[in-house]
Amino acid sequence: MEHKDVIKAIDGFVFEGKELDKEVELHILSCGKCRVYFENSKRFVSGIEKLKKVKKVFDLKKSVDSYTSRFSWIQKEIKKRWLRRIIISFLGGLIIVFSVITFLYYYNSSYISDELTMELMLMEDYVSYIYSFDEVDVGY
Amino acid sequence: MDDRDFFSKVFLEMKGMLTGYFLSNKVRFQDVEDVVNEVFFLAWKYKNTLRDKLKVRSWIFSIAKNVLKVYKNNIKKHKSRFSEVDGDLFYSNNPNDEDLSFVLELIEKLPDKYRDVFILFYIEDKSVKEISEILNISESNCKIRLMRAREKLRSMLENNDLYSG
Repeated sequence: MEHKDVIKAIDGFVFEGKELDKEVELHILSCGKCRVYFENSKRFVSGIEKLKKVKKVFDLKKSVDSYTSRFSWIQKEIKKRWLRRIIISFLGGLIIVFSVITFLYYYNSSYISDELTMELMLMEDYVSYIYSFDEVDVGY
Repeated sequence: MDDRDFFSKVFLEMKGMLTGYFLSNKVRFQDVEDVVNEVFFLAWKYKNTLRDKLKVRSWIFSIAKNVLKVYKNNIKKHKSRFSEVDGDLFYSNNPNDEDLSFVLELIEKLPDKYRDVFILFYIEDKSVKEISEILNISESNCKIRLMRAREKLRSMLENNDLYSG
């Protein structure tokens, strides 16, 4: 049997689920290249079967399982996401408001302290001015 | 038939297929349910953007492809958070699943357009006509993709390095 025909037969085994002839099996035993292809193909076919089984066994607990509970989880999900969005927006707003208040507070307090400093300097000037008169008086 | 009935019917029809699609694309076992639900959630949320109800399956499938892309990006980004075992919890914890991971590795190596066709044909047992509807391609294009997927797989299976048995 020709090598080309064996490859074709293995192709049929992998992709069409065809059985292999004895002749093909004999060739596979004697040909290293075909043996590698056949062994890999067996693993591949078995893997595909396992994947199909996994899929069947897999149970979607929360989904549109029946017409009675058809969209209940979607509605819940929508509400949940809305709630999450509202809470996040609220918290974001709160942070912005606090930032503004804090900024204004510090800005105002620094403004007030500047004013006070000015006032104090003026008072100090005024006092030293009055004292200067006293010193003159004491001198005479 | 109102929107709810229509989408219920489509979802019931497609959930098995999407589960198989995500499992074949190495979505972690514990995430498959969430990913499938995310697809349905997005479909329901953006149902107004669906122009032709006859193409609803291909529309949902394109959503599924986008969800898968986002999922894979997230997994890539947060890879450090998952250990290797945790990353492939289902596939690597069971010693009998060597063949399964072998198949998944091969499927992953296929280019996107061949992979989708291959999964739908061999895992989901869909006909060429159904696949062409789902992927919104012509039947002949579908057949060509399927043939090329087989060719790619054959060349991978013939590769000596794969065989470890």
